[in-house]
Amino acid sequence: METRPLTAYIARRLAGAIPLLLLISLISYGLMGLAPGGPTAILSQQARSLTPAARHAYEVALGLDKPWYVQYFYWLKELIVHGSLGNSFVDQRPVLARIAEKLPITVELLSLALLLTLVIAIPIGIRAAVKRDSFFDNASTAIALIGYGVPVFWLGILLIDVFAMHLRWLPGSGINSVGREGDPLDLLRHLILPAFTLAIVSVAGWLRYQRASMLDVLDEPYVQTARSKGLPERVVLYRHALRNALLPMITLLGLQLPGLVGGAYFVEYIFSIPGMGYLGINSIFQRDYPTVMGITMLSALMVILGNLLADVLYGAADPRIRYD
Amino acid sequence: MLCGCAAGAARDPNSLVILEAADGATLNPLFSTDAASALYEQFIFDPLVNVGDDFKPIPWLATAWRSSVNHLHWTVDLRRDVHWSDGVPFTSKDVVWTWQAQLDPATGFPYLGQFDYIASVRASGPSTVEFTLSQPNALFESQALNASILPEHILGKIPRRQLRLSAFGEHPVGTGPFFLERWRHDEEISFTRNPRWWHGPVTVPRIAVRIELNDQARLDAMQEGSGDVLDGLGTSGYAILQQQAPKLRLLHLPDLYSFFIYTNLRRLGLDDLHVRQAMLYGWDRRAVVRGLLHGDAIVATGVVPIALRLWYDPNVRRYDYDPARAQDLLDAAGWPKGNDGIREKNGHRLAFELLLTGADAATEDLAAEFQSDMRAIGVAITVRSLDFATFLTETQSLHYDLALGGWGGVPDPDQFTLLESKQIPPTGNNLMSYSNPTVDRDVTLGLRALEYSERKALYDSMQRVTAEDLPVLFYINTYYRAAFNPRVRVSVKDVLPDQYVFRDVYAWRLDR
Repeated sequence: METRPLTAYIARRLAGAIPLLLLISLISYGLMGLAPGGPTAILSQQARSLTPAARHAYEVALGLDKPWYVQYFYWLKELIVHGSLGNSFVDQRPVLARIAEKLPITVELLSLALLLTLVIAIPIGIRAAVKRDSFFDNASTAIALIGYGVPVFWLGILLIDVFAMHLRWLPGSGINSVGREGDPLDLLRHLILPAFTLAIVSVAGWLRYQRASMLDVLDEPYVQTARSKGLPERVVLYRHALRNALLPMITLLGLQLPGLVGGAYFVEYIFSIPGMGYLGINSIFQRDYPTVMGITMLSALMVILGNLLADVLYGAADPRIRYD
Repeated sequence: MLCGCAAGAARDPNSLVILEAADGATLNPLFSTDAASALYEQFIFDPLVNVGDDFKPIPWLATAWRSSVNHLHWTVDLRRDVHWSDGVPFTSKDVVWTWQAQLDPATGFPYLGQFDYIASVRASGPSTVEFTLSQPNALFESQALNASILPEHILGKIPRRQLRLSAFGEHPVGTGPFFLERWRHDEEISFTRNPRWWHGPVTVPRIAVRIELNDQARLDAMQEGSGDVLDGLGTSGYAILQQQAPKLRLLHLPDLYSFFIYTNLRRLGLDDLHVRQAMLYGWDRRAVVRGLLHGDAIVATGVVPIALRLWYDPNVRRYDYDPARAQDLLDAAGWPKGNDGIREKNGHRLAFELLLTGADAATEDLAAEFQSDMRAIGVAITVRSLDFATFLTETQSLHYDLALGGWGGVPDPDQFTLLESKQIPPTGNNLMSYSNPTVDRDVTLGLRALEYSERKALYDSMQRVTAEDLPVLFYINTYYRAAFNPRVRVSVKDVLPDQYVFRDVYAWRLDR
């Protein structure tokens, strides 16, 4: 793989992402602006005697006295000229600072969920391919598809009910126990149920891809050759077949990321995890437009970069791929 | 097997661990509107006048205050031995700056409308402040003088329009019993005691407010002993702790809130007094309290909550469950039943939509029972559940028939912005479009009168008239519930409900 075509490819992809991000921002801002309810409604409830003059002063201070498309223009200008996502309507702090506080926990949750997904899906996918059309193959596929079809919020509540409320094996909310802040083991215990919730939902996709990919590879001549040389089946499978069967899975990483990020937001809310998703959903309820926009844009960027990374990694893993 | 409990967790015996369900937004009192921010601010800042037993004003940063005969000029004497947490002395400049900033529309102080009767504030010496009011106001002592005072030497340098964006809300400087130690948003905020607090020694070395978003997690923390105070317990949480944690000390007292079904009096049908009275007679609220709320609420009889013992008037018209009387009222008012059992007059059916917000299962059950009770007397109810912002927009723009809501939280019977006829949105929060000259007079003069007996007579009249008029369908008065770890030495009988629970936290003691 040559460096120059790859660099040009990445530059082309990033340039292509700009109009996409602009479109996402415009649609998101428009939807928010057209949604019923606004920040001043909440304020006038909290401060019962908010006079029309005080309400107007508040709207002017936040730029809410202008139509949504004008507000969008100012928001975009601030982003392009100053690289700022603005300040939260709720606590007046920079949106970037608010997101930076929450991002690590979301990344930790996503990483653990992805790890669990791979640990579950890959061995089962391989075994299902090797034992093609067996009971194991059919059962694992059926179970995985049930997991895929289950709504993430329902599954989360079910797991909380069983493992946190009834069996009391694991905590069902938050990221640490009172008095155990900063304890990594305690954090891990808190992340197990939400990560499993996400993993169960995404296992089906990975499992099916792994199975199909393995089946393709098992029919390849070099696998037949390895077998005919009398190599043990374990060596054939894991040294010759698996290495190539894992290649297409890199692409899947990019394809699965949007679902995983979206799912993480629901899971954070269900499990009361103060990450980016929780912040985002609360911000929607509070009509905190700058924070909602910040999280939307960052999520979109994560998905775009995830896809790009998958494509680049795929190229790195398979020298036949060219970036012309 | 992993254990879900936190037993054996390292615990700092010097920290008072308070469990809260939501984090505050800012530590800048100029812009805070949520309950959690108000909780934190009372640790850091001091008001001129604080809340004493029975909610009576007591001297704080002010040593004394007196008014002119017409109650338009108030002179407030300040303490001379107070310093800000950065060592700068507190003076009248701070009080004047705080009030000038609050009253300047450029600041964007959300409570500006509440204090629009304050015409000017000036210093008449380093330790004396003069307030001039445009008209007397009964809430001046309990509300205006109870506002947190801010440091002029820090905030005075910032243009008023920029105050909203200043970092003060994250790095506050106060005169109060505690300093901010650290704030991890949505996780924990901690405070350390101010060793040189003017009031005297602070007996609690450290406060850690833990944000536990999940109800069960907060209950677990109390049961396991890792939490010291659980503020604002719900009905079911209280029942669980009562059964499962006998060692905890539980607080259960009427709070300052009343819940109602708002009626939009501009809607045909709801503008008919007989219809509103019939709806209240036909609504079995006792059954709701007994069943859905496990008896843990009080059926409301008026617009003033029962917890305001000095102001609550029980001698008003009552609406005990009487469906036969409800039917008679509707028949007499010319609303006969149609073929489908729903009443109608001149082709208009008695059918309304009830708005809910933040609807949990219990609220939806309540709505279902209301729906069923109303169906029985010939009133059709549909239910729509909305998120809070949309709910507020719909009710504030009067695009609703009925809405389940409430008000209260302050230890005063004033209902001016809620019931006065000029306070119909967008001016105020008279969401019902209610208008009665007697109530207008009562709530207006009630704010201007300063003598208790005079105010009491006016608010008694307000309660009697509104119980006849029913601008809202009275639902319940609720209880404030909290749980205390026995290691916290505080006299539970002296605790006031709601945001006043921690008013004397500086004097609490912790057993090791």
